[in-house]
Amino acid sequence: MSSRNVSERRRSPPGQTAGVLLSLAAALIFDMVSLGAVTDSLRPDLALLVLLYWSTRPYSPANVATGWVVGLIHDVASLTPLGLDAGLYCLTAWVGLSLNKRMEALPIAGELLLVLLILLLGSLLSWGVGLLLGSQPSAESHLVAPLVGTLCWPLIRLAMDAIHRGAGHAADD
Amino acid sequence: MQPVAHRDPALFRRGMSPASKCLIGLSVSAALVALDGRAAWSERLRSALESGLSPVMLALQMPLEAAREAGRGLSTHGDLLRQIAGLQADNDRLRTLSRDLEWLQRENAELRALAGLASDELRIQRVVELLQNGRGVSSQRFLITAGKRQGVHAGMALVNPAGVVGQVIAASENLSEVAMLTDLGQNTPVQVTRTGARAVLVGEGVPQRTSLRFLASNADIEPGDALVTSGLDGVYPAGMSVATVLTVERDAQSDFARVVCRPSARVDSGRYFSVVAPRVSGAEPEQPPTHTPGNSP
Repeated sequence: MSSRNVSERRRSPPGQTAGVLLSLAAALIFDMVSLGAVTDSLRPDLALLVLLYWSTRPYSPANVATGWVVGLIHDVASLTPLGLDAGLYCLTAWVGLSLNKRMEALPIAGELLLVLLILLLGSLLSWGVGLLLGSQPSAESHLVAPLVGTLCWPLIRLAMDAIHRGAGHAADD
Repeated sequence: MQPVAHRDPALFRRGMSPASKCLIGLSVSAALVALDGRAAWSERLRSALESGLSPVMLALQMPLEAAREAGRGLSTHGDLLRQIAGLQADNDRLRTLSRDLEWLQRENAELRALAGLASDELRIQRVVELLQNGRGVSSQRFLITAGKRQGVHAGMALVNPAGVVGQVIAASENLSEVAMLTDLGQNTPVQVTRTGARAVLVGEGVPQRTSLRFLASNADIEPGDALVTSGLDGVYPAGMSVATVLTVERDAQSDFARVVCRPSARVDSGRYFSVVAPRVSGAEPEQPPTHTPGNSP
């Protein structure tokens, strides 16, 4: 690895690209499975959490465009107005890229607080757009889903760390 | 070790700064949200994306359906006997009702023929299954497992045994999007069964709640009144159960009464629905009615 120059190091290993794509696809598929009207409104947005994870990893191939495309697919799958989740995911990816290594340096409590803040801001944005469009979105689901998402974060991080490490080993081999 | 030589897929390649990309992404997203459902190309884009996603979404239903079937298979002998007894009782009751209905239909047809009116019979186009609930601002919408290929088109009504559920608002090849009665701005022409007064039921984007619009504050309406479809819109056949009046508020400051209603059908639960199209007298059905839950093109 030490023989790589800076520009090469900024490129992501091929295994990681596959890992990002597969984990985002799996998260989207999970989000598409309907678990009932009430559960669906309260469960966290897994694709958003996975995107947030990858966008905070150094040299990760996930970027703002990845977020936009995944968000657009999520818009179609969750019947939200086309562009709503695309914008939200794009913004989340940008926030993740801006935080980058700083998130890793935080203790777990700080990381959870940051994730909660990001998810709440996203939820607030979605709620605000809903109000602008004239609907009366339920405030509870907009609060509960980010909380559940934050509680799920350690598990998601564990799973994604494993993929991240696996992809790194595959690239070294 | 040799440096790894490869190119990231186009989706991941970096060029502009993330902040610029984010601004462009947000601008395009805002334009898409503003035009969603208003521009024809945005409908086509959604329909194309839905068609691309539909094989995955339909494939996801299979293991879930298998799990549900397995759960049903665990019913005990006693449960089955109780269910059979209940169904037999229902069958006897329905046979009696069916005889009465046949008589009424014959009588109705004769009267309509005498009056020269077109009949407005209920035609079940297909039984469909819920695929995915909408979320957030679209929580009062859902996807069903049938589209244009299965004879389901925008504008058709969705019903279940308890009454009207909603209306198909967009159909792609294998999927259709349904707006429930409770979806924001969903209008349903109704008639109060007790008085015969006509009104428009409007969705508020809130689960299990709708309201009557533009009903005069001195209108004869009270809690408990049943509302049925008036059939004036040509979407819903007349006489189908729609909602029950919950509260009536009459404000001296306003010319209109505030009437809150609860849909008769639990529009946010249940998995199977019938897609119906009103049949104009003398017109032949476009396709023979089918009764196949799930997707079988």
